Amino acid sequence: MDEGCGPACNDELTLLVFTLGGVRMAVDTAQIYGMAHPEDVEIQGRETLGLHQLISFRGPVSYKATWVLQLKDEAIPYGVMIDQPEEIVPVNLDTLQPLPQLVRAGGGSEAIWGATVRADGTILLLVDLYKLPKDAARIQGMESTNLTH
Amino acid sequence: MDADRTKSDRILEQLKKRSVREKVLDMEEEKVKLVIFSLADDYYAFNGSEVKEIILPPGDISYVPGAPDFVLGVINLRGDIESVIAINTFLSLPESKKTSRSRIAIAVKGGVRSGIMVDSIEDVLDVPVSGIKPPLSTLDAFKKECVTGELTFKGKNVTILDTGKIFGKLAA
Repeated sequence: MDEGCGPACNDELTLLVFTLGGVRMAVDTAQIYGMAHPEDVEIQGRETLGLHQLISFRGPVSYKATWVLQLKDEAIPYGVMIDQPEEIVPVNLDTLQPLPQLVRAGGGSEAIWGATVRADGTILLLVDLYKLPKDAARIQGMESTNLTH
Repeated sequence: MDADRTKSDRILEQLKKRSVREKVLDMEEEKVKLVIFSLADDYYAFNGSEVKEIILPPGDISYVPGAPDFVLGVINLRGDIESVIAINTFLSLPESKKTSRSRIAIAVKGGVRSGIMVDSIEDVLDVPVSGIKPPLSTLDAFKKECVTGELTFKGKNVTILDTGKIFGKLAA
């Protein structure tokens, strides 16, 4: 699976920063080949899923400025809908941190794999788009379990 | 001559007394440092050696989607990302509201490090070990495992929690 690593990827990641449901997140641009308006994706006849459908949020999530990320990995047959893309920034790998142990407890999201602190002190959660199908399957599993009980 | 002997006797007597006093001091009871805090109008305590610092909750605790319900989120503590948890549900207590008295105790035990949100910090005390009673026999088995003892503070019962056991159960 080519994630588009150039020579610079040994030292840094280029992140697309966005906010969804009040949570600031970032994805590695090497996993994306494009970003489109939802209407354009619909015209192309491609399926789209909201990130909130793929990662479990506690409350309802509303979108204000929706964009669809088209992934390089063709094994993922849908575009991922995000909200309020802000900027694309290079981030040094030394500044990345794994999530604290208790956050990862109880089989939490696999797609949210780490975090980084920006210069302004805010925290960005890092999302691995290629791990979203696993999270989605887990959410579906939980929902079907809840339905059967 | 008698007067001299009396004087030396008196000095020896004083030296003996001082030695006894020092022995008494050396044998002074073992103490344990406790951080006493409140949660839902009850007092609880952590072992002071397990609490690395106590901080004011920052304005923004970043929620992490998919994290367990007891995780309030993560904070930036001088560049390090720390989790902040609520132990209310774990102790069968109602949810707490953040107030100006709320604090986060950063605790470390058994290789797990996390902030724990409390309603207020009441005191940090050195308590004689003899002042700590065993946990109430009426506690259910689950809670009893996470309680190391009890003591009285300002006329109220204080439940001493085992941070390591709590972290262990939450991390499982």
